[in-house]
Amino acid sequence: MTVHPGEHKKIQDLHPEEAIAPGSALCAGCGGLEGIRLALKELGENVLIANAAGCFTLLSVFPFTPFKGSWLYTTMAAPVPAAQGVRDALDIRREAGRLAEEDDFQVMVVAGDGSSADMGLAPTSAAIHRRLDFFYFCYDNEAYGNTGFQLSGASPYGSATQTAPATAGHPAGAELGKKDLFEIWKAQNPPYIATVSPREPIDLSNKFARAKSLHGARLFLCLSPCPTGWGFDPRETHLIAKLAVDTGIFPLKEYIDGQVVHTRVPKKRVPVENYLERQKRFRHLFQPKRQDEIITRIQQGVDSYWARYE
Amino acid sequence: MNKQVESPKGRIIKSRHVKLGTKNKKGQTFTDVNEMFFEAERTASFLTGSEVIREAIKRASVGMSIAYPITPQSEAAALIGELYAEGYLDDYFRGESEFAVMSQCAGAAFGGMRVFTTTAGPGTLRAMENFSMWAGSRLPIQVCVTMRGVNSPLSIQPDTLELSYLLESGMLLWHAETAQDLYDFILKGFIVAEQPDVHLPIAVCCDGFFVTHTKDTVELTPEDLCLTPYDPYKSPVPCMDMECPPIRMMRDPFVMKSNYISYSTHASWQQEVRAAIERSRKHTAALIGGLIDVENNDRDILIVSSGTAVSQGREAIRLLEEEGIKVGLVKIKTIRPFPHEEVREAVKNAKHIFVPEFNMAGWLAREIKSVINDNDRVICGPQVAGGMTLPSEVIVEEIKKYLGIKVGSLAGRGS
Repeated sequence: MTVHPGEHKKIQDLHPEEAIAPGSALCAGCGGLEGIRLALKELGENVLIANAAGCFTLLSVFPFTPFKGSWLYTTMAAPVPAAQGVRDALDIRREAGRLAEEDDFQVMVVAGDGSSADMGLAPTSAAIHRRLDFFYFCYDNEAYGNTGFQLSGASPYGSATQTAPATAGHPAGAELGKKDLFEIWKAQNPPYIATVSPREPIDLSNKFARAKSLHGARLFLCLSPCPTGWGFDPRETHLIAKLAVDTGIFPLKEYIDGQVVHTRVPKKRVPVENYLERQKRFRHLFQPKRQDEIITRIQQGVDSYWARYE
Repeated sequence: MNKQVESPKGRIIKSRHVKLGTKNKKGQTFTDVNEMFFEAERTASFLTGSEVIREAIKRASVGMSIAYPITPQSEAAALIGELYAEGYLDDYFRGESEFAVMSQCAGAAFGGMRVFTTTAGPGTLRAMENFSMWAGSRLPIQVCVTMRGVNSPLSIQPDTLELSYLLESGMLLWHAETAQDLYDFILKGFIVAEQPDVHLPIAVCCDGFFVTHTKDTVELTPEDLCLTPYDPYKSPVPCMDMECPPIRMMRDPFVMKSNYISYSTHASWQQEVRAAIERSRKHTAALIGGLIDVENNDRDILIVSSGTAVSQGREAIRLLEEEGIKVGLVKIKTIRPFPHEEVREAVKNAKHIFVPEFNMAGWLAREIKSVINDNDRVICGPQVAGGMTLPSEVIVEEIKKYLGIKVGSLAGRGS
């Protein structure tokens, strides 16, 4: 792991100001909310969020908003094009001297995994291609959570969702693997990509701090343990997030200067079972009958991922 | 910041965003709309409709234009790219789809730019979700819709069906008959759409191919005069600002919660958008000389239409006149706001009203039927779908058949 000078080393180093107030309409224990809270601590309040319809659209509900920064909703599939328009217009106005520097702001897209992996992917790809200067924050709870947890392109193999329940004919639930957005984005060589976890605040903050000094598309995939969709007690969010990293299911990494660097490597990986068995969406793998074949396949997927780096 | 000035035909808010008479970076003089449209001398040019779009945008002080690059219906977007290369626009780029383009336009308008784009046919439908969003966000974006077929089997021929999809989008909809209309509507459309009491998106529509690809004589305003740029600070919902609408409003979306305040805010906002369309009438009438044009409406038989169907109707009237049948004409220029009063008044003495249309849906006939008395006077047709022309002979035949006059078959005439 590379240590960068001047980076945060302990929790007390994090920015004391909050750019998002508590008490929003999101579910208790939402992992993504903690992620965006930490991100905004690092980015400050001069951020315009272009949102895609999803859970986080409930953050700014008339007449309340928890943000110190600004919020823009256009359409579900096109938060990135909206960010593009805003960025370009602000650049033009700044160049023409019609906008003071302190009135300018960073543009950040906030979208769920459904929008990011499915309907919003083409515009995102185009914006990376155009080298748009923006942040992209994807809160990844591995399904369309806001509408009742339906299968998305990011739902992992073996998880049950509303549209992919586990049945006798389909014992795994979701039968396809999780779309690897990190690799898809990487293929276009943007200046920065990172995976972050709310359970690793220092890692997350350092990644945003690093990205802040860069220009271009800076993309973040934030694992968002989802108490309602995944089926666990809200108080266990951090435990689930920790297990996701410790089992190696959710690798924390970043892509910078053309290199993928893992920022937290579990010394000895905990068996995936420990992560799966705590969630209702994987319960069919253990009850009424243990489905070893599926659990083994999930474990093999994780092992073969890490084998590439060990 | 703005004062109302008297125009020859009505009241238009004069922009004082830049000093009138000063020059832009291309050496064009910022000119008041009244002077530009009603006083400046015009020169006749022989241009295709697509070239006319370029000429209009050259004089429109557009900040940003975003294009979906393929040009099945009109090369206008590519021609605007040339304008950008020459330095007439601040920014121009290729979007990845019509849907993304319209959202990029929204972002640019939120940022305070005058924005122009074009689309056609399937692209219009692909972009659809955004048009209502533009209207609800009060973004005075202009889209030029060079209408073509949308149905399968695929057609790139003219067809005005897509206009019916736009009817309730909350946008202003103007329908140009000729390249001259197109030129004037584009320039004047910016002015009306950006009036503080309107401030809505506008779709300037024209029939593909007949207007975009054919050459016509167009009276252009001088090349060295341009409109004053959009002043975002005269928006009724101020331009992008951390603490002010629309960004402030968009960060507090109305519709996301099931409570009374959300419902009533949403409802009143939709009413406000429709009221803003109504308020555009006075500016529109002043600038384009009324929402309809009327020729001989004292006659028993009238042709009422919009777009190039009006031209075909006019030719049909000439043919019928040779046979002693007298027919009047009503040309509808704005579909939203719809000229209810004007049409009702214009057709009050007519016995038969024919509505020729370049689509099979007959949406214009429905609109007309919905606003006039004794609407069984309306004969919906003739109508043709994309890929077909609407020969004046077909209109003549329809009218004669209706009057009980024997007509020879048109079959085999290649029409």
